[in-house]
Formats: sequence, structure tokens, C-alpha cells
Amino acid sequence: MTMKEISFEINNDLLKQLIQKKKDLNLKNEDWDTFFTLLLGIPSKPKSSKEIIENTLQKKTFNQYYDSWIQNFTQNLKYFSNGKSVQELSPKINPELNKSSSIVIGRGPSLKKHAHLEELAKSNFQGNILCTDGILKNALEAGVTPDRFPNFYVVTIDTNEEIKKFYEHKTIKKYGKKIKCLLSTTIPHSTYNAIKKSGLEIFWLHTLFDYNKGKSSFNYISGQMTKTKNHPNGFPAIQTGGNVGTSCWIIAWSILKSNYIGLIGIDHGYSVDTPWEIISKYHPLSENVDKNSIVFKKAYPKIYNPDYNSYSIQDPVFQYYSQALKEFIPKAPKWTKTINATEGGTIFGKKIECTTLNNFLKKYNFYTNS
Amino acid sequence: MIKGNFNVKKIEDESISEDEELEELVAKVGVGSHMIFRTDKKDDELFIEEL
Repeated sequence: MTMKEISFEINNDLLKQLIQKKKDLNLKNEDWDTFFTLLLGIPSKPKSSKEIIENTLQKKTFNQYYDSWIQNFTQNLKYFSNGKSVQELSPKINPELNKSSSIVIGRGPSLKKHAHLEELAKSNFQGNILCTDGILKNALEAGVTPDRFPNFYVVTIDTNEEIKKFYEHKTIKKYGKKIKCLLSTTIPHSTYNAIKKSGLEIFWLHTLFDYNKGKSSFNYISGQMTKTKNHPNGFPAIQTGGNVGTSCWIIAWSILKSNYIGLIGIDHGYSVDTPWEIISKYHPLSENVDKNSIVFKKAYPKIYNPDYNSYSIQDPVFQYYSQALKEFIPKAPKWTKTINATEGGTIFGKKIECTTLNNFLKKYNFYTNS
Repeated sequence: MIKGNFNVKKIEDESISEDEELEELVAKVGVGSHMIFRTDKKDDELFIEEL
């Protein structure tokens, strides 16, 4: 960054007022750039690649889904008005005086690499199972079923119409009635129909995205619309962290009050040997991009996980997800602990314990109260 | 009248184009499943709320 020095004439009184204003804004020791940026309400430019990635994806995701969220909410309204709230799943306990566990299952590459579903299926884990929707079929087929683990949950927050396919398989129908399905009020009605048809027990929640805009926000308006005779307090609204895996983590402690949350298949990254053509299938990658450029390496970094001595490749979407989750984990209540049991991936750092699934099952196998 | 001497920072063209290039690359990967919720106060992140 370069500095260009310019001089101009200014009235003495005006200068005094500017200096006083700078003091009033607690910017006495800041430079004039900062002062004028704040004074004129100029949006500050993104300063880091993290901010650029988050700002860009927030804007794109909002533009792509906002209309669908409103339409889906409207179509689902009469069904969730007579439905159940996720609040019914929340145990009436003081989590500070308790010990309970959950395992969140994502569909990252570590799940297959370490045969974690098979290992979990053979275990005597007594806590909650929270399955992301995309891995539900595989989990059931591997033996991670509500027959083995009665406190079995699946979560869907996604607006993508494709999600309904996750619920249409005959394996889902086989176990449907024993699975508790937590749904955002903004999911497509076709997804709701597929879930209903497979017999899952549905519990509703809201997903937060614009509540910071106050009473004009869709979150606020939809919250008020949900307060009915059946649900005088409406439904709880959760932070999603942008994806269903992080949503499961939030639900595990905020709704189910779990003290120990193990993550498997939550890699938020690809194995380093994954071909670019495969990565591109998940989140499209431009064909002509220079993969040796500095910008590309910022968008697709190779991440070293010191706890597992392993490497992963991230794309911008996984950076967006993992940066948020790693930021949220230390901000969760002190009575809950997060354990990355993926044996790799990109979730490590402050207040995150990394250990094997085997160790998690030995150390944190606590009965659930729900 | 006095002379005020304000230091005006000028961002190098190269730096701007790098940020824009990254933004362009990110914009092509599609979208997330949902949005991350951000409050105005960073340290007061909302996880769960009664609307």
C-alpha cells in the first residue's frame, strides 16, 4: 500500500471542529483515513481473503435463496403451525450439572477413509446421533440405525430441491418412524412431502440469516407469523453456520444440551489427492484459471492440521464454512466441548480437541437425557 | 486560513485487482447451503434465538 501526500487549505475553525469530532468519536489516535471513512459512512474494503470469501458468498447465497425462503415458508406455514417444535426435544436439565454426548455425522472424505460409520455401528455409544441429511442413507446402511441408537436425529436446512432425494430411498422408509427429523421452516415443500411420506417424525425450527435487520427482517416477520395458539412462543431460530453440519453442532448443544460433541465426516475440505475435476463437481471451478497463481492459492489453500499431521484442500465454500465453525466453537457455552474425531480435516484450533473416534467413544460415551 | 496536511492513502492498483480477482473466482464456485448469521456485534454472535 502506498501513501500519497496532498495538501489543501482549510478554514481554521473547521479544522478545530474536525479535530474535536475525531476526539468525540474516540479516534484521537487513529489516522485521518479511518476518521473520514467512519464520518462519511464509506463501506470499508474487505481486508483479508477470509472477508472477501465470506462477503461474496453471503451476498450470492442471499440473492439465490431469499425469494425461495419466503415462498417455501408460506407453503409450509399451515403444516408447521400444526406441527411440533424442536423445543420439545430439549431436555429440562441444567447442562452445567450433567454429562451427555452427541455425535454429528457429516459426509466428508474421512468418513469412508477411516470407516467411521462401521466403527460407530459396532460401538455401544449411548448418546445422540445427529446425521446430516446427505449421509443418512449411508449411515443406516452401515448399521448406524435408530434400532442401535434410539436417540437418532437428522437435520435439513437446505433450500436445494435435490435434498428431497435423500429421503426417498427405501432404507429411509424402513427406519422412518424411529427417526426424528429437524426441519427449517424454509425448506422446499417437496422436501417436506418426501420426509412425511417416509414416515419421519418432524420437528420445526427457524434458521437465522437477517435478524440483525430488526423488525423489517424476514426472520422477525416469519417469527411473528409462527406464534400461534399451538406455538405461543413460535419456534427457536438457530445459527446455521451456512451448512447442515454446523447446524447439527449448534442443535447438539443448544437444543439437546450435549456436553460432549464428537464430529465425524465434518472435514470441510478434500483429501489432497482429490482431482480438480472432482472438486469442481461439488463447487464449480473455472476451467481456465491459473492454479499456480497467488489468488488461486488463496481460494484453494492447502491446509495443514497439526493435531493429526494431515493436509486437506479447501475450496472457497469450505473455507466459508470452516472459518465460521472454528470461530463459533470457542464462543459456545463453557459446559460444552467439541471433539474433532474425523482424524483429519480442517476443524482444529482454539477449544477443539482432536482425537480418534475410538478415543471419543471410550472417553465421552455418556447417556443422553432426552 | 491554515494549511491542513492530510495523508491520503492510495491503494495500489495491483492490490485492488488481486482482491477483485479473488472475488471473481469465489463468485464462480456457486453458493453455500445457507447463510452464516452475523450480528452487528461480532463478540455477541447469536446461536439460538426466540424470534
